[in-house]
Amino acid sequence: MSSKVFFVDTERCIACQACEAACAREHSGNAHIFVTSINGKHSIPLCCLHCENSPCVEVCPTRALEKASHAAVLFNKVRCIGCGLCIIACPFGVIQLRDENTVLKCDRCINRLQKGKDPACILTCPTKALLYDKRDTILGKRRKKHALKAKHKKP
Amino acid sequence: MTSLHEIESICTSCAEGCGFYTQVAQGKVTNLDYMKEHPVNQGGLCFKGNRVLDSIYHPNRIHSPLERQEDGTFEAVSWDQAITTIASRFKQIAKKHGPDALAFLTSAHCTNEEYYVFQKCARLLGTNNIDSSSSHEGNGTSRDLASSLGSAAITNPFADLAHAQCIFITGSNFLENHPIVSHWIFEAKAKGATVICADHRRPPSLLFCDHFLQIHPGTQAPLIDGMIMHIIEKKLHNKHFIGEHTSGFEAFQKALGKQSLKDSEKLSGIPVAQIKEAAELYATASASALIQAIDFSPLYGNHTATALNCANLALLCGHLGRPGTGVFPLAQHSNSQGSYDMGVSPQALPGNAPLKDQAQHTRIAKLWKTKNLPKKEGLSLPAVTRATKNRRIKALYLMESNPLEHWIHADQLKKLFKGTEFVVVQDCFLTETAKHADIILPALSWAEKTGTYTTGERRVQWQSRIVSPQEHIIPGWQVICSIAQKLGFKSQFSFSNPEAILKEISRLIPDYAGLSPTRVKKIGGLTYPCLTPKHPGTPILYAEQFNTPDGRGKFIPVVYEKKGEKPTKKYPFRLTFGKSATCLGTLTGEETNLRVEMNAKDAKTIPVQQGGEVKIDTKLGSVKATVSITENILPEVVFIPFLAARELESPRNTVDPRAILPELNTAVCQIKKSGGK
Repeated sequence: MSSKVFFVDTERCIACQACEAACAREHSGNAHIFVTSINGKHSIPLCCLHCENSPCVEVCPTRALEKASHAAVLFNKVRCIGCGLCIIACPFGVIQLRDENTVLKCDRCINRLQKGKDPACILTCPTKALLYDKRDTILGKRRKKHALKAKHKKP
Repeated sequence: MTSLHEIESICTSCAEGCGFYTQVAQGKVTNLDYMKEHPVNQGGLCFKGNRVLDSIYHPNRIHSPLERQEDGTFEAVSWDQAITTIASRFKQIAKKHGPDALAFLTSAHCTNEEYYVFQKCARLLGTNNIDSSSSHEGNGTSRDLASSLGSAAITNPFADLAHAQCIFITGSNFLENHPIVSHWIFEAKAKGATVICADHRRPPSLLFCDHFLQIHPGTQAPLIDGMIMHIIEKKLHNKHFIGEHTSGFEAFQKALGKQSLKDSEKLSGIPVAQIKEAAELYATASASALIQAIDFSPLYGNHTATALNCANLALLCGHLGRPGTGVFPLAQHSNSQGSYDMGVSPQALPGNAPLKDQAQHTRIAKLWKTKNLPKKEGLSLPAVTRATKNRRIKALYLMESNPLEHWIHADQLKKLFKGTEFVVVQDCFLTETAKHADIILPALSWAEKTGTYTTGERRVQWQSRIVSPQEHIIPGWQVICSIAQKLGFKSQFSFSNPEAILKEISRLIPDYAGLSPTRVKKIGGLTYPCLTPKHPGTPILYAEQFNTPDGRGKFIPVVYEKKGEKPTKKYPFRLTFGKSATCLGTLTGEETNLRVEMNAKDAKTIPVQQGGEVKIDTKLGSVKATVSITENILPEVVFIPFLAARELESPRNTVDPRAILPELNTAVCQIKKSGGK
């Protein structure tokens, strides 16, 4: 199975914060996704992008962060020493440190994925702004949408 | 293995009626999961939907009936004792002062079955003093459509918006309050639709609409007037549709005569050119839909006018009765449509039958085996509140209604409670209103109830019991039935379960005739009118003709009046209210920090900075709030997301003559810096 990616249709985000609520519900009250306003005119939900070459994984001295199944960067509490290097390395500001050695970050709802269910934020998004699919499928849809738009704009 | 199972559930946070699965293990709710196959939300759940489980095990719930003691404290009593006391006190008061000394009040959070037995009990006792407090919190506008289109309901289902070519959104806080409906707007947009939004406050995302018209608060009606005038002038109206399917067009045109587009510009603040553009887009599209979003608070005072003008505009262009067209008044609370359908109204019997309709009146009296079905119009909530002066109301029954916290005129309500001899409050929590009761009965949370809810799109869905009631709390319908039986209506209230009540409802209300328990228990339920047991339901109204007596849609001229207070030197700001997307609203009674949104220009003149504390004064009261500076709001207008209405009252008891909605949102205020830093 080629891996699926997390994708955002920025036009569709209405800043309703449903993803934050869903994420918090799935992760004992802590949301790992953040609806972030851009210019006060629109917003995008930001969470761990599970980068191909993850800086957080590279800097972690104890391998508490590791690339695991479903292409997810996962956190292992037992190994964490609470140095906070991952937080410094992450360019998106989506890794949080709580207590001494607990890193809070998106786990792509690995428990749900293992049961064959999509992540909670994807399913809850009322406007379907959040997508979880193969990159080719998503890009194909986007091209089609653009083509349709161009067609409709014609007088 | 744990015995985890998933139960089909309906979210009761608002009137959209989204489906989801509640996960239950060993009789306890553990989590929820998404229902991709639900026709309304397709799996999606908003912020509130994701928090819907929170209220079930809320620590503040009441578990036993409570009776007020002489010293004012409450003591637990048995269910038997509570029900006996209520029945005997109501009997006594009705005998002494007549049945119109009783008043029954509910909200939009109950099931259809609970409403049905509640209003039946009130009417068999001989009074039409029955109302829902929620219809005075901005749920009333679908009712206004009855006079022009025939049915007091939305015309098309939400998902139908995806077929529209042009969508015009009026009202306020659409995105915040209706994320699930906005999904269908995006689907329409993806197919090339044009979306126009008119609101006084800029929405959190401007990408959902193509044109945003930032109007002065409450001026939707004159804006639509302008659009109508331009459409007629340009001859873009649908003459064939007007001739075949409508009435009153000439009188309507005459009534418009004196106005001009310049007036619309002056009132709404939108330049003539933009009004013209919006009008042309709406009129020329092959299918256009109109959305009227109504926010939490009693809004503007002019929303009856807006609702009627939406209907006028749709009739003018013939955008009704087809996929992608229609008028969408969006209600706030979960079962406000159901409450009205069930006859929770001082003016209408179940099935929206007017009290004056002799045939319906006789038919219902016969079915209820009574000779004394009252004909006199009852008192609405505002009328009950005003009735304090002559102390007409002696006993009150409030079923899951909390007007003291969710409505205005708190002082008058307190006087009302003081003037009555006996008050019963049935609620999940010890609300401010409950504190004034003589007897408090615990109510079930949504997850413990069974019965039907009618969503804002006329979809009737079944809520199954998800967990057993806590501490043997008796379901609301059963409590009402026990009281009614003790009052002497044994045979009329011999229901053994909510299914039996639904069966009587479908015998009584023609539109609900085909809604059997088995049919509505399927995912997605059924959309009424559903006339026979095999009828597929009617998602789109008026495909053939309107439900008015002559089958024609009626143009009703709208007179826009500038009501309420005007800003003065002392009170320079217009105060507006609404819900934010994350406001959980009314069910759990959680207090949140009060925030006030204002323009940067106003913040400079006060002067106050982001996060600073201010004191907001109206002529009646004051509150403190934290400032949030935003470009989303016009100068000289401030916006408070979700205000507990009891603290700030509108000074005048202005009541909109038709919808009987008090106008809170036209208050003016002054704002001063307060506190330390």
